[in-house]
Amino acid sequence: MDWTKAKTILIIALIATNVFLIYSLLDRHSDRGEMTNEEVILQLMEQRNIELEVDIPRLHPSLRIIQGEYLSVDREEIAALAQGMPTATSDYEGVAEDFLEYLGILDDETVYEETELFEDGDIDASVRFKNEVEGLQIAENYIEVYFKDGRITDMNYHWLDDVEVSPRKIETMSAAVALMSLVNQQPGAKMTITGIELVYWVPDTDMELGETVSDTAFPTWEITLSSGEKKYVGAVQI
Amino acid sequence: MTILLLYVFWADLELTRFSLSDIDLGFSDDDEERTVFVEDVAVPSYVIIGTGQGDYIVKSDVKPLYGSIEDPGSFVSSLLAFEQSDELFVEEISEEQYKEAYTYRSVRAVFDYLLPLGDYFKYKNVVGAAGVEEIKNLSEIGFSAAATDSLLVKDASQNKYFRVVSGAKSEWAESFFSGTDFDSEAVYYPISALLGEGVDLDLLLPMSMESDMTERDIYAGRDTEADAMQAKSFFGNTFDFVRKIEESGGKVIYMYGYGETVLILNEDGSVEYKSEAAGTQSVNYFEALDIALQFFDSHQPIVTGGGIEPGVKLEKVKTDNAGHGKYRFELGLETDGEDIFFKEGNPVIIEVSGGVVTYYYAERPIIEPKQDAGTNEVFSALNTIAANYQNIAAALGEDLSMEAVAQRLTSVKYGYYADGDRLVPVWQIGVKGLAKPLYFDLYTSEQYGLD
Repeated sequence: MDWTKAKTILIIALIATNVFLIYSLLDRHSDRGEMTNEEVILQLMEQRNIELEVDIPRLHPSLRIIQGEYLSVDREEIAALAQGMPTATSDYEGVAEDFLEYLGILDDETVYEETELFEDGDIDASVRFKNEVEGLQIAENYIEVYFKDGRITDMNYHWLDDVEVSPRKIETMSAAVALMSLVNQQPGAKMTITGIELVYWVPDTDMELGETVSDTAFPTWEITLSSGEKKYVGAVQI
Repeated sequence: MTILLLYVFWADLELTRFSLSDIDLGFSDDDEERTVFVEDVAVPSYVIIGTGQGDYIVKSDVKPLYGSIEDPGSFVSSLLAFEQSDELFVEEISEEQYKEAYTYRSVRAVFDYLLPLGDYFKYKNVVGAAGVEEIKNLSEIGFSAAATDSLLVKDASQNKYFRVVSGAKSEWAESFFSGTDFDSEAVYYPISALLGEGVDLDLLLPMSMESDMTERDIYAGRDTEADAMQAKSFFGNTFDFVRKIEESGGKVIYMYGYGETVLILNEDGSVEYKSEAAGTQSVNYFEALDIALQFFDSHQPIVTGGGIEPGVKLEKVKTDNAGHGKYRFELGLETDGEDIFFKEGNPVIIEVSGGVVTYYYAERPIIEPKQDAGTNEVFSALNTIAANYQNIAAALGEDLSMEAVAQRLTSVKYGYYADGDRLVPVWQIGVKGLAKPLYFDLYTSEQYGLD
């Protein structure tokens, strides 16, 4: 047997296999076809009087689904703890974070969003936190801590807590396809789109539900209109 | 490097892709895993044995007499064998002729639910006798000692009566009539014979009766620790992508997609499943029933602790044969041959549309095994009616005499009533004008389910 010849053939075959696999992987991850689709969708949107004031995100990674329990804090506990908190002069954010830490709520997912100041009202300041899991915000989730004369007076929240992620990732649809889906839901409507981003969202349901203590949030495209209204289009491809 | 590339290639595919076809509804082609078959549930609601003396024996525990189709010596096999014998012909007879035949020693299987004969023959690959297609649905089928070469059939859906005549006598019927002790059991009389004037119903009631039924504990067929396992049996491989909503009362809702498929595990242990994904396959009655039973079998309750799971039998069937055919099967539960009654109706409902289960509701409790406590004389059915006729009239919202109440009765059965976490022996009394039957203690006649 000519071993030298056999080894050469084997090496060539392996190189050919590697070239094929590399080409297949690159082809799968390239967005050539998608850009073509995106351009077509953008043209269609233009024809339908949909104005875009934002760049369409090009990436739509595979994501996990999340499950969490709705936060529930005893109002008496909030009131009692608020009384013991130091008075804030200007560092509302720091005092609010301490407050959440004492309540056992502050963790890596509790992300400071903004502080709003008010004049001549029931409150002087409101510190708002957003909920971020796996790098995405959970839409419509917030904690707001309110201050009056530097003291914490109350807290409001809608918050998925103790979040667990699904073991498997799932493909998401592109932003362009989500936009088209939204446009198709409201044919003829004139829209100006000012924002589009991937978030987690607990879908609305027609089912009559009792008091919900835990729910699932799915990767969703949050599309913001010029009016400030937000529309949600599920990004999960099932 | 090739191995590494292959790993990346396949891992990339596996992580993100799945499709509707991944849904594993738990069906298996392997019959060995099944515990409930069509033959187990499509049995008579009860069997009436006529003594030939104007009284009857009614057997609600039908399986020992009706038997199995696998047993060539059983009642059901004799019926099927008769239908296949040579030189058969079918002729329609009058109601009077039919009733007259049953005044002799007789045995008949009564089906209180819709049972299409043609579909049964197709299911069993049996060629029926000439003219058998005139019989649409089987309501009663049996033999009279007056003529054991004839099978007597009632089709209530057409209000018609038939005689299927063979050239030879049924060996099973001959043997049954000569070998049965007709005096050994509780005898039933038509209520008209018991109450005389003012009541002309054929409804059969036992004069007196002993029973070994006693109160038993009952456990909800849900273990909250096993909810995920239970739900996975409905959603299969897509379970990781199913929405789960928990309510404060303990109800858990699983939702696939945006509500195309929903599973509800209720606080009381009942399970409800709805799917919008109707199939496109045309199936007949028995094929649909088989699909329903496979589904039922695949989703057994997961509970910890001892106890026995009740058996099932068909109670009610509705069909809508437009399009690909819709079937709604309602199953009842039974334990030790006795029916278990539920206040809200039949405890298991399965709808099949286009060959796919689109709705499933089930209360599948686990029951404490029967204790051997000997037999006791029951509060007789007639005395129960006499003691409660004013309560029955009140439920109807009318002021009625006992005879007038008796005239309104549609059924009188005994069995267990699921009263919260216990089973109590009862009389179940159906009344024309009431949507649901009434329940009275079998030994005291006390009324249940009034709340």
